Amino acid sequence: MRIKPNEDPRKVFANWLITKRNPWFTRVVVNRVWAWLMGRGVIHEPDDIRADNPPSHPRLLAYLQKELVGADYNLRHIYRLILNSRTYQQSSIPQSTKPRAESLFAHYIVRQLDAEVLVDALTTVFGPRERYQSVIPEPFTFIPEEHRTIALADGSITSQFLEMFGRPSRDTGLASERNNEPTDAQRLHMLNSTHIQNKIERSWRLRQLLKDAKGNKKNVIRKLYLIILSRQPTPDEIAVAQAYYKSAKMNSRQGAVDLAWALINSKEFLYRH
Amino acid sequence: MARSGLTRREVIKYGLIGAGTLMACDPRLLLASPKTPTFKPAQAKSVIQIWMWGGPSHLDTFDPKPQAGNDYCGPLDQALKTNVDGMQVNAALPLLAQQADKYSIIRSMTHGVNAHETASYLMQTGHMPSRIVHPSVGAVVSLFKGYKHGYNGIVPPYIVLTRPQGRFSEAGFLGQSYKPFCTSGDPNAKRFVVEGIVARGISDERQLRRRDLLHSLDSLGQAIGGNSQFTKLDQTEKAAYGLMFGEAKQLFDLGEESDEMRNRYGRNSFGQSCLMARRLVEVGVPYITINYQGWDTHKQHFPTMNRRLPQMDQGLATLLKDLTERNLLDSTIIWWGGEFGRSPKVQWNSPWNGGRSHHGRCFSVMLAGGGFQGGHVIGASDATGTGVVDRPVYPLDLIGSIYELMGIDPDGPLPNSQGLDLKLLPTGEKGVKSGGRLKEILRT
Repeated sequence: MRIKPNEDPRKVFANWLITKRNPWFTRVVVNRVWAWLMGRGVIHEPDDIRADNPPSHPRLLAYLQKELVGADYNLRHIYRLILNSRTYQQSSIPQSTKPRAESLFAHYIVRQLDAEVLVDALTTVFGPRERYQSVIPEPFTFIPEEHRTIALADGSITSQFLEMFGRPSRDTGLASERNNEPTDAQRLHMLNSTHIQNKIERSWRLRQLLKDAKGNKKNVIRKLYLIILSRQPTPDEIAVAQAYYKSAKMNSRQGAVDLAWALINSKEFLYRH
Repeated sequence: MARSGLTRREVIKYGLIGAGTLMACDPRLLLASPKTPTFKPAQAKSVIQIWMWGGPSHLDTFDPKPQAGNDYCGPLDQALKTNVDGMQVNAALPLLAQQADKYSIIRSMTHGVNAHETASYLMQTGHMPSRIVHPSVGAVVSLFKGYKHGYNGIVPPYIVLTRPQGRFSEAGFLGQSYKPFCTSGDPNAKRFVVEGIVARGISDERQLRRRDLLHSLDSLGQAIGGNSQFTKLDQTEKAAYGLMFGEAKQLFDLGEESDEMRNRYGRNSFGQSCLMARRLVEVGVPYITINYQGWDTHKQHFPTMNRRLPQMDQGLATLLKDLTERNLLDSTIIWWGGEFGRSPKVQWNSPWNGGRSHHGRCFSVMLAGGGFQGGHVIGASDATGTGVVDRPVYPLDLIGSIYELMGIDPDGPLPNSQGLDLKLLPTGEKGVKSGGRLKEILRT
């Protein structure tokens, strides 16, 4: 393979990668997409592709590979196939207690939100944005505020939050570099850090919501559920929240702050489910 | 070497004896299999790293050059005798001069790098940047001395007072479990608001009540019982509340110290950080970094030194004295230094108007306790402090010596879950310079 003087070597590489004679690329990439969406690869772990680590569903993998080649290597086609499948759309509440249920995709696999997604979700809920800067080289470059965290192109642009919640430094390119295991430090951060406290207490969205509700607590509760968990509260949940306002003798603002705090600390918010 | 407590001849002699005894008497070291830690037992239990963020001037602290003149010294042109014969420090450090028997000075630190990022990485990992981001000394200590090795303290094993360093990933590829716990807040404030442990404006009562609220609204957790992910999250929550309401809160409460003690350390952030570090050592925390910012003095160098050196002098001297009085210095390493020194020649011209730039070719590090003998000077710089003339010490020599005292084999492997074949330090690798570990001051 030769790279001509004015040619972008990345294009040459990409063309080499997607030749039909190269089954390895399609195998790796469809398996990764599956693993991103489903929480587990057809070949598990997704980095561990070798002859004696067979896929759990060989025909599924072969089908996805064929579809990718057929769609001229358009990954969106693969996303569409998986996202529209009944397998993807299953409930996360297990229907079977058999130990292999999870590895055979018998239910949706619950897992912690990725660091970038979590911080973007908090930003969406409360309003004020995160600030990122590129520290190399000096002088520092600030990333425009409207940039979402998932769109940060450079692994060296990071924050304490992102590192704490397991965003990889992208040293190896392995999927296993991302560690989504919960840690004590993460929990402490979500429950009681200045960062999270500021996000809630300085939230212009929360302020607006309280203003619009004009003291109607039930309305506040409903809206917080919609914003944070994208669903209506159940009658039981409304009762619990109302009782909290009363028992704690809290003004409507403190009560709303605490309810928002409880909802972003719920498993329903912190986990894909 | 007139200033040193140890002559060059002695240094060479001790160095050789050190190496000789190792080879003759400790074949375990040569035969040690990477999986069995048969390294000699630890002398030190804790490290207090005083990270001089930005790079402190060696001339204005531990390597004074009064003969070099105004071009080099500016107004800080006096050296001061210490309580050790022949050992001098800058006259700006009168209290530290009285404690010199407790610490040694390396005046020949070198790596030649003048960029903050690379130099910080090098000074805290011992490695030059490569594809893998190596963990810092603190992360390595918490790997070998942390929760998986019997550490059962009330706070995490690697604590940073108070801000994370930026410019530098402490845990490297080891990941977030080995990141330090950064306190934030100001230990000199009326209330030291420790990140995650003390919340501004939220009473304990409200904390507990909203915890109940959280639990009663845990609809998904109740719907999916027995999920292993959720069980883990519940465990971390227990630990988090343990920190918020357990002994940790008391530990960080500097109000428990007498006013007299707090005054001894100095009523400023650095002084109170030193006091906090001592409290952490007392409960067995193996690695504490005081991230002492503000030493990157390209401009306003001398006014800044006049303001900061007295605080540094008081805090550090009191720490040495206090640890000694509590019989803790023998088991606690104090490591003072930054990513590099500052240019010996003062930049009097505009726009600096009396500043010092980065200088990685030759600078100083101070070490005390935990098996490092005090009262010695290792190596020497030239007449202006620009280059090393005797016994170069490279970052891996310094870090290797600290590992040795902590009972961690510096030549051993770096265990990792990625299955990578890595060593703790690149000693002996091609193109990696080493002046040898600090046998001169290692207590045996």
